[in-house]
Amino acid sequence: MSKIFTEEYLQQLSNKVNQTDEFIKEAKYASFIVGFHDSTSNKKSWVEFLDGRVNKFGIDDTVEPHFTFVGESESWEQLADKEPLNRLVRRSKLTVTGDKRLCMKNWKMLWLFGQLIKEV
Amino acid sequence: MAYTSVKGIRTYYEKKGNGKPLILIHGASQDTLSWRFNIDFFSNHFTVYAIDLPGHGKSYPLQSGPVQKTEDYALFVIDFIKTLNLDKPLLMGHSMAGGICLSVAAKEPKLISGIVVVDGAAYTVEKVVSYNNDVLDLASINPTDWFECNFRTLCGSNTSLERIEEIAFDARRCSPEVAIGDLRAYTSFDLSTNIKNITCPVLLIEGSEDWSCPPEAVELTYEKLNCPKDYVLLNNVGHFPHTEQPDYFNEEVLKGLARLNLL
Repeated sequence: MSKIFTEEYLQQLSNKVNQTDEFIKEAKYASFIVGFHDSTSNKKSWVEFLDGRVNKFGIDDTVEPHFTFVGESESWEQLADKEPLNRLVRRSKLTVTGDKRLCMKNWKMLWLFGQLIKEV
Repeated sequence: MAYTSVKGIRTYYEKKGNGKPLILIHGASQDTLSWRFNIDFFSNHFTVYAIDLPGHGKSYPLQSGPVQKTEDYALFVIDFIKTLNLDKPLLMGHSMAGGICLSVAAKEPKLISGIVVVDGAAYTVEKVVSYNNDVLDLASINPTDWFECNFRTLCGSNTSLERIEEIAFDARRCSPEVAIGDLRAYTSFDLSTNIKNITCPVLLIEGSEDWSCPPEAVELTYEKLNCPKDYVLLNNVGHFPHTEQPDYFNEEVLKGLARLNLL
């Protein structure tokens, strides 16, 4: 199971994200919830951004994300390892459900988030 | 630096050097600036013409709007050659413009002396470059960020962070409408029917770590060409060899041109 579906990891990632200047600059005023869904294991997690910072996160079904990245376990492992988010989406290894427009309007911020996943 | 009118479109180009004409054509979401590390070098051997395609850099867009097909860019390049009355120029194009060069060579085989295809191929459709309509629709919402993130991750493992920043900056110089038109042109290009028309020498040069136009796509193009040809794979280089590792690239192109008797 990819680390992105564990609370311990999401806590570490949130700390990293909220302390990374490049991300903070790109995420200014961003407020939305992004979901992650492993279609192989059916594991889910989510991260809420409020005013550009990670406000909450979880691994439950109680929150409805604005949009969700969906893919098989292998794709999530690749994202955590070295594959950039843009390559996985381009190859349709990860797809976007929900508000695609909101997702793409925040594309560089989300891409940076994907890069930080590899660093934690 | 000069402007000319190509079928009524004000077109910007940079000219330097003496000798046979060499036309440099930039890739998607870029402009003449992408050849900044190559123009001086090749001007020692050729009269270099680096052009801004319609809607890019300092060139006006076509009246019909952003170009959506590689073949339409090829027609523009043919008109550029005829407008400047250039005598059998050599063409060098990067990525999408590699397809433009191949398309020109197939449409007007006697107009040019040879082509250099840099990280480009004769087939850049979905099964080769992974773009489907759903992904293109996503990219069309925010082409600028889409291109920048792609450019950042398409550089090879030996490319300096400073150079990656330059390449990423290039992507943001292009208008979103033109950038997504380029992406649609690149991802719909298929020369399988007309590749047999190409008779001039073709040099294919490719970064080994390019995952946008992967070596398999270039090898397939090489196999299908029935003309004098050469294929060079540049180690530890990504999608932008002329910018990532210009010294390596320039020298290897020159060697390839010599092998094809194009110097």
